[in-house]
Amino acid sequence: MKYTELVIGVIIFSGVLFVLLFAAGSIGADYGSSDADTYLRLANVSANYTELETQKNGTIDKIKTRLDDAEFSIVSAAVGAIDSVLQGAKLMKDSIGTTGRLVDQVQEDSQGKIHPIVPKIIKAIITVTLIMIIFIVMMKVKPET
Amino acid sequence: MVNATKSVYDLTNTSLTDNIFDFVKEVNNLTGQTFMTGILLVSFIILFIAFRDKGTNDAILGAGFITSVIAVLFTALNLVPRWVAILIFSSYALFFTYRMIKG
Repeated sequence: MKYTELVIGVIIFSGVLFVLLFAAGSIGADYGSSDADTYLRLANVSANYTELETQKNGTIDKIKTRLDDAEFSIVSAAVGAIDSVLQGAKLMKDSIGTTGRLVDQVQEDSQGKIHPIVPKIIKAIITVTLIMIIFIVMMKVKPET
Repeated sequence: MVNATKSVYDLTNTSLTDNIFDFVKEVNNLTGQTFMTGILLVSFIILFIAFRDKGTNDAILGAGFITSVIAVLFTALNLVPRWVAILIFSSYALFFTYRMIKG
């Protein structure tokens, strides 16, 4: 395996791991999971590792000097895919947060007239739908080789 | 005559619940968390067979993705142990990375 493939692999791996762990942590926090804090801590470790590889070490610039144009276009496509993973995670975080607050507000405004299970179902459906959309997009994003 | 009150068996009435979630939780506790782990494994196998006509690699990717999402929900509800969830996440991320790099 080439050095560049290894670096890109590490970035993608930690990116995907971050999304899954973050989802487990944030959804788990809503439902009182005893492991939610652990997942969120692991997600942060994973995110730090992704950023370390892409920004702090200037890895992308380093790769560019070693490759010809054709090879670099593959790396650029992979970096675009990684970016979509991270953007997807941010989008998911914001969307879940907004939806959760909105549903809680509706529950509060209804003064107990809505059964407590209804907001939970709405949150679950929206969360799953968001995760599905983001992961389907992620699965479609693949560098042309 | 057998005195049932002195029985050594666990005779907890698991059907005395309000909903299916409590029932599943009780069964999961009785089986030492292996019940829902088994559900995850079986889900993966069924999905893999269902997606097999798309090719083995895509079938693993698709089945792994859906299993990961189910694992996220199960772990949020404390239905699967932490190590099982992390194993599933890591495996999926590893295979996703492999597909991204190797095409």
